Amino acid sequence: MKICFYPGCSFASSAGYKESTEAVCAKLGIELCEITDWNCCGATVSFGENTIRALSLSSRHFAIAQSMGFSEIVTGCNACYATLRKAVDVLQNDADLFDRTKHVLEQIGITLAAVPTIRHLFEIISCAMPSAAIESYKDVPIAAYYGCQLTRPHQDLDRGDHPTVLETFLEKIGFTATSHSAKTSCCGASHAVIHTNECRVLTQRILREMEGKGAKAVTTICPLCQFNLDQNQSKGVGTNLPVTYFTQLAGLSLGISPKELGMNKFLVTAEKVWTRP
Amino acid sequence: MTSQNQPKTSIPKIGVYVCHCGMNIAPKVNVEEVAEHVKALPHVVVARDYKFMCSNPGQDMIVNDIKELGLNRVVVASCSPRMHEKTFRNALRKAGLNPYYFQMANVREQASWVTKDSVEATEKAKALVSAAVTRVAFHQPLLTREVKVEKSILVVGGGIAGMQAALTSAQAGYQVYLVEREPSIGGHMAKFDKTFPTLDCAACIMTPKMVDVYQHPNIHLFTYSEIEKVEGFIGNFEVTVKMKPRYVDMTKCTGCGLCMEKCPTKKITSEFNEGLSKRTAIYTPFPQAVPNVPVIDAENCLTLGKGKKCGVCAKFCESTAIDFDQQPEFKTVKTGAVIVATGFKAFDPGSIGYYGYGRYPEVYTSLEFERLNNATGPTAGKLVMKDGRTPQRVAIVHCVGSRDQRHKKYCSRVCCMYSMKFAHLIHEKTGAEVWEFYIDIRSPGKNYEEFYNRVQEEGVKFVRGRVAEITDMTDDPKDRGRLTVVAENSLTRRTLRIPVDMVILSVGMEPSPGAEDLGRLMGVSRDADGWFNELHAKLAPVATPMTGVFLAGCCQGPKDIPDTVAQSMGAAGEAIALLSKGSVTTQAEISNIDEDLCTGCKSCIAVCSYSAIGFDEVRRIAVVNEALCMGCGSCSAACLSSAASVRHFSDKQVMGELEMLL
Repeated sequence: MKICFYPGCSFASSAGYKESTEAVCAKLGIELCEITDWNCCGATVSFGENTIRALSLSSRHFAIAQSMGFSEIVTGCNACYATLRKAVDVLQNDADLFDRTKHVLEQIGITLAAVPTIRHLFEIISCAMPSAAIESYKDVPIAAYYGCQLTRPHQDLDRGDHPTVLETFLEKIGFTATSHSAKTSCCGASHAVIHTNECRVLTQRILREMEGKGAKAVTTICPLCQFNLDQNQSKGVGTNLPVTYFTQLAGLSLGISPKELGMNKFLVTAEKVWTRP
Repeated sequence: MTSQNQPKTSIPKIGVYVCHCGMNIAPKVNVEEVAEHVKALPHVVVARDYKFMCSNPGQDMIVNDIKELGLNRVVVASCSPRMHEKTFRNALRKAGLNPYYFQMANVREQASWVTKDSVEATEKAKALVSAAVTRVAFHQPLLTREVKVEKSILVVGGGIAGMQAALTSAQAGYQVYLVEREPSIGGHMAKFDKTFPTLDCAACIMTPKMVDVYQHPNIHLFTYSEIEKVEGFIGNFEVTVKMKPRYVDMTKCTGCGLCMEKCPTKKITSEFNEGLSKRTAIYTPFPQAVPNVPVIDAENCLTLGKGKKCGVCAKFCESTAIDFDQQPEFKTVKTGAVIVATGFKAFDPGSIGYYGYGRYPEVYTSLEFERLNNATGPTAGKLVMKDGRTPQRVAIVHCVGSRDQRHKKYCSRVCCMYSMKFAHLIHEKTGAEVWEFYIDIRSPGKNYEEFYNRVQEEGVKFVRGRVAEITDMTDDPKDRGRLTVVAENSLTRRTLRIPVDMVILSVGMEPSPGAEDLGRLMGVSRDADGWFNELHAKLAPVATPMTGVFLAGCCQGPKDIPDTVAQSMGAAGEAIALLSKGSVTTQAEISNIDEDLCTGCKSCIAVCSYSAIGFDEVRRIAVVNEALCMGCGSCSAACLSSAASVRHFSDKQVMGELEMLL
């Protein structure tokens, strides 16, 4: 299966997201076709700044994906997902903005004919993953962390509050999902860089909730979520939970080694969690 | 016959009367000039102006002119016909003239009040009066009919609204059929503990009423029954009631309760206790149920639902009242009027994910709390959490589902008051700290604001802000196990995270399920939110556009108990007023189908909203039921052969009027 992949800015530099995604996709027979010459999606700030500019940033990918022969774009980042998804929504429902965006793209020689479907990498991998053959990780309770933007505002994958798709996925691939209440609580997102202390309160609340409910590790589906939860623990929030990507757990379930999955890049290390005799 | 047969007059003799209406018409419209102008029109015998035409001397002037000048048509130029058409028609009747030989020209609302320039106003008044004069020349005498009515009233719904409407009607001597779909009457109010603002016990004021309803010789009670079919019209409805099988013979059962004690199926969620306790398969919803005859829940019964050999209830019943072969029964009753009192349903907060209802055991709806707090409830009125502990701090969240663009846009009107009632009761019973999270406090009722003040003085904390989230995530480890209410105090602009032991969601009201179907059966329309439409928001709040059908209680919109009871008495009063004379007068301005022109195409039957046109299979023509026809004119517009027309709106009359206006 070939998919049109939009990596976004933080994919390659994050703690093993790229390695694990590539390893798992190779094993599952998924070919990642990266959008040629992709640019920043504009993230959460772009729509607040200037609508046409925000739409143009996203739509450039739509046009390129189409020229590559795809009608779907897959991304592994919640911010990219929500931003592209929003652009699709606006362009589909506002003919005037569609025409104006089209006009902007024409000036750089790109033709926008239609809008694609936006999907999260999680959808692709969770569908393709086989059920775990052995239950070697059943003793590892994992707290699933969705972040704020996977199911909000667009509830394509699950209900906005208290979603359960990640838990279903974890159980399917042989882990135990921890029930907790911080699934969609905000980690502070990019504010963590500037308002560090305020955001630490948020991540601390999330991590303590997970640990308090019995989790031994966390799994995320977004680079910024992973980074915020991981790095704040090294600043003394009092918990010690390795923060993984769902692709890394999928890799473990498929028998790929933690190192190959980039799991040595975490700030909170917990190799004994993954090591099996 | 109320109207006298009038010999058809060949030559019209018209009298025109222009009213000054004090200072309302006269200074703007030159009334003398208008009267002078119409004198020149054909058939006008006399034209006068007078200060108040509707006054006694004004009416006498018309009566005298009819007698002395031999007038046979009258035009009054004054206010809207809605105001005084009846008055002047009566004056004509008094003078021995058919009241439909009258036409009104509205020179107040349509000329003097809405025209700035005096000359223009006068010109417009001249045109309006001339149009009326031309029209009235073509008027025909019309007759109204008296139709006998059934002196009985059907009430749909046995909550406090329906019970009160039934009692008031029965006290006036009317036969009342009260239909309730649940096994017992009582509705929501039977679930309550105390009622605001007086804090009197709901059961103490409710159960005697339930018994009164049961024992009243004029009230025929149909419980566990639904409306199946409605036919007929004002004064003469025929309603078919479906009595669902109770599987218990009501004539034999003594209400001893042994069957319930012995029933082996004991784990069924109790609807009456809002899911907070269990009941058996054979059950009465609550100990004070009326009638005190159990029903078998067929779905959960071992014998009826699961096809097993149980029959324990039948074995123990000494009066052999259990009848597993009971079938639904249908009964048709004749009734003169119908009072709809189908009530409400509490909003289900499960759709608001961030309030955690259904996920956290200590998040309750207001109805659940009513049961928890009730002496006959699952804890016998002890205010405890599910683990048996007494709560130390309780949060009450207002406007759950109400005043919310995503759910119900309207205010449910009762939640602020019952929330404060809860606060008082919690404080009184447990000494717990109570936090009320509100958007606005709405306490407009007799002694309501005083109750609000009282609760504030008792130390209840009020936070103005909609609650953002209810979670079991805690900041302080010692609060683990408690809930946290996250809200912004919009007065101090601070975000609050308050650890509490119990949360009550003050859910709003929505129309009762089944209201849509009942509305269709009754021909009563509903508004965008699903509440039944009253005839007029201010002046006809209990009547409906369907004559003879009235509304009581929450089915028309959210209401508290005092308002519900008042409206129910109002609905009963309206129904009594309609039926007390023993007959109703039919409208004269109704459809008339010319037998010679009708081709029997049935187009008119298809468009009639009131089911007022039938078909005569022998003569192959459409026939109007004069008691049902509302004179809307749809048939006239749809008729392909010009056979259907509406009396008093003939082509000649309308065209004549238009000619003078254009």
